[in-house]
Amino acid sequence: MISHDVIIVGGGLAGLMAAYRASRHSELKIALVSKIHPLRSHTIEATGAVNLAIPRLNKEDSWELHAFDTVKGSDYLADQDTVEILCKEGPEVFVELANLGACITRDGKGHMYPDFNAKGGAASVPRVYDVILNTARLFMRPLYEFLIEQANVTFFDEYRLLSLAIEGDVCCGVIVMNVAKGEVVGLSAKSVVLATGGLGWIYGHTTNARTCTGDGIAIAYRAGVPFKDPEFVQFHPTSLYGTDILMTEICRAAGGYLYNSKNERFMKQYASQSMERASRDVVARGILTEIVEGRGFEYNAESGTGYVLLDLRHLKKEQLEMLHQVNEFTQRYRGINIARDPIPIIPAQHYMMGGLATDVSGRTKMLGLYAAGECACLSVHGANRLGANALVECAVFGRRAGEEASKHALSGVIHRIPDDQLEKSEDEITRMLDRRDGVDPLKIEKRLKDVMWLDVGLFRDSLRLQRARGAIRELKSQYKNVHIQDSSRIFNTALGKVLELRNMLDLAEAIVIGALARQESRGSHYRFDFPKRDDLHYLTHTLINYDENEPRLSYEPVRITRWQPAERKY
Amino acid sequence: MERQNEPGKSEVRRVKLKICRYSPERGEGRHFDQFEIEVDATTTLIDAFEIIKDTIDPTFTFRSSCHDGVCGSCTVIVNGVERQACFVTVFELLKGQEELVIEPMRNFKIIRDLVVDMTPFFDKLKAVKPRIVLEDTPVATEEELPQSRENLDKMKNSERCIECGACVSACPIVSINPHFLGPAALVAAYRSSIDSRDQRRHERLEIVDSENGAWRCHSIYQCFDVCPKNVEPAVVISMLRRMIVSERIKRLHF
Repeated sequence: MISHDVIIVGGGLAGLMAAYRASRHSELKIALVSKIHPLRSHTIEATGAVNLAIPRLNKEDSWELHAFDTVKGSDYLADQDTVEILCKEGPEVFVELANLGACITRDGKGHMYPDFNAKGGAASVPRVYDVILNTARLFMRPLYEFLIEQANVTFFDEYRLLSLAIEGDVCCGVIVMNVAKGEVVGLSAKSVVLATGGLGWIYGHTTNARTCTGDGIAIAYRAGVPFKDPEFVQFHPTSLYGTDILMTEICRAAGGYLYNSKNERFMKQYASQSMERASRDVVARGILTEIVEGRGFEYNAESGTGYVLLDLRHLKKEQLEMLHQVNEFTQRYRGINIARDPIPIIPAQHYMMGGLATDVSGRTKMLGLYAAGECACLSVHGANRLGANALVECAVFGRRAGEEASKHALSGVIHRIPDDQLEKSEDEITRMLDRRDGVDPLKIEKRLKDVMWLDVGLFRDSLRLQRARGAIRELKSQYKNVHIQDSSRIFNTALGKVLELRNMLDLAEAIVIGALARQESRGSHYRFDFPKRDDLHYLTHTLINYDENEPRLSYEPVRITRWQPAERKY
Repeated sequence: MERQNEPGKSEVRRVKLKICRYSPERGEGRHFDQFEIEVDATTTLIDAFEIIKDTIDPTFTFRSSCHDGVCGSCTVIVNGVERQACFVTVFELLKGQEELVIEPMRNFKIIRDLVVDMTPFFDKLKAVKPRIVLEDTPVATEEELPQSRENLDKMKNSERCIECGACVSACPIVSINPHFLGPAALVAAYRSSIDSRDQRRHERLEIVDSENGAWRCHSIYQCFDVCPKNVEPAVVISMLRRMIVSERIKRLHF
């Protein structure tokens, strides 16, 4: 039996941070399990911009101000005790990361400094700190390099999470598949931390990698952990039309303009003060409204796509330099030079505010099971996340979950993984691989992604959501006969995708149920039939509890400490 | 990844890809399969792989994740040259070429088709001890250690590395001597050691100041040619050598 004290699943910033923290307890054995090599994790797609309120470096700022911006940005749905922790602990965590080797940009005196040229979306003051080369990889690398040298840390690279091992109602480990060999393996542990990231791949257009299929959320959800606030899906306003590649928010923070087909800076209609720098949901809805109402370019009602223009041509030389990675993408994939041409953009799914319900220390309701990062919902982002807050959540709460998981492991007991659970996993795989014909999984996946994009996207209403509910039910039924056309055991990526598809379907269903139940508009969840925010009935978190046929809805109050809900205007 | 039609980009071509396959589980030794598909100006090589896997041969296997050239998963060899499959279009690859021949990276054991075993690659990274903090040192959290802009500039090249493996695949020395630490690991060693905050320079330089370390490089510069991130490994290795020599001289004076 392979056993560890703490298993972390997921090798992005949250997972690496949890592992780092846990590994500092030299008496504990830590395992880091990831279905792809940790350095390939989706964290690397971020530019590494982080909101840190450090009065020492920006006198105008304070953690309270950062917290207020975050709470307001969340459309008052965030649990304010978690927001306070995010804003208080963020600075020390990133100073620690810097001192571990992360290359945060410096001023002339060698100190960190907030980028005064780029105020993040919906931020009161400049508080974005960057890394050189604008890649969040620079936060991951020092953690990874630290961990590979720890005698008490073992990496399980390219091991896919299949299910949680459960004894009674306690999590006692994980059941995984060694991708290279196709073997099902049980790894027992006293604590398991899920840091498996988001679920963007369920949407037809997403900035997420194709590995972002919400596996950790789905697996824990099916095991009984509530899926909190599933309807809150963030759409990033600017992805490069035709490629789904993210055009970073820094484009707008640095002063980029958005134009419709009438050459108007249309954000004036949607956020007269902040214009292009309003919060993501406001800008994304503005853009899609322009497109759908005929003031965009190439609108296609069937596919729900079209574009507006992001203009960076007027930016200063240093700012364009800062956006060199954007230019690399636009040049390579569209032959566009950002200094000379406007960029065609359309919103795309980007981030998941909802996730596994956890407390402020990453505990889920299942003993021994923790979650952190995008797969968790504390909720620090409520109905809408601010740009440059995601990595802060990963680091702060990854650290906390790692610490809590360690404390639990110090006093915990190893349970043997029940044989029948291992057998069940193995049988499921064998059955799937042995099936000789059935439904093409690609058809199911494509239809799911289309349904989510068209009916559960930026604009929702009862008709669309009911239609989506029906479609997903049908797809789940088809999934039961899915046929994997590659029966190999060795590195079978077709099998991997089919396993992910099951997770995608369950999560999509929960999102639709949450969206249907929330009869108001708040943050990223917008309904034509209920366009106003309704604090009286919906200042509350949605919880979906898994059931194979009828997932059950319940509610949890929003935790308010300082900031009473107010109208959210930008 | 889906592609919308774009004005002026609707030219579609039929292309042939000859792809190296390998699957001992299915009793297949290395052999080439030919696939013919339709692509347009926006189809990247990884898109082409997916078209093949989705519509022709579901057993065709390759690694991919980010689809925009940042994660380093999808390195393959195209007509003899290492490329990130997601970061190049098929049209671009076809320029001046009759056909496209796709193979897995060199100098790595093949697991299946285009998927290679990256374990030795990451073992070598570990072997140069890239971590900059000493064992058991508490890491400060109140204030950041200063680091000058000049020092950050010196790190930029080597920090660009995404561990894609292209340099190791292209290196003829790795081919004849699998113990050579290789360009990527040496770049990491340089990057850690040039960082003004590094506490383990001496230890690390001793490791790379070895027969299979920095001195094994023959400045052939294949790594320089294939690196998708312009790390210029061969140049970095020569800077690492200078660093090693400086360190040796410093120690002579004590």
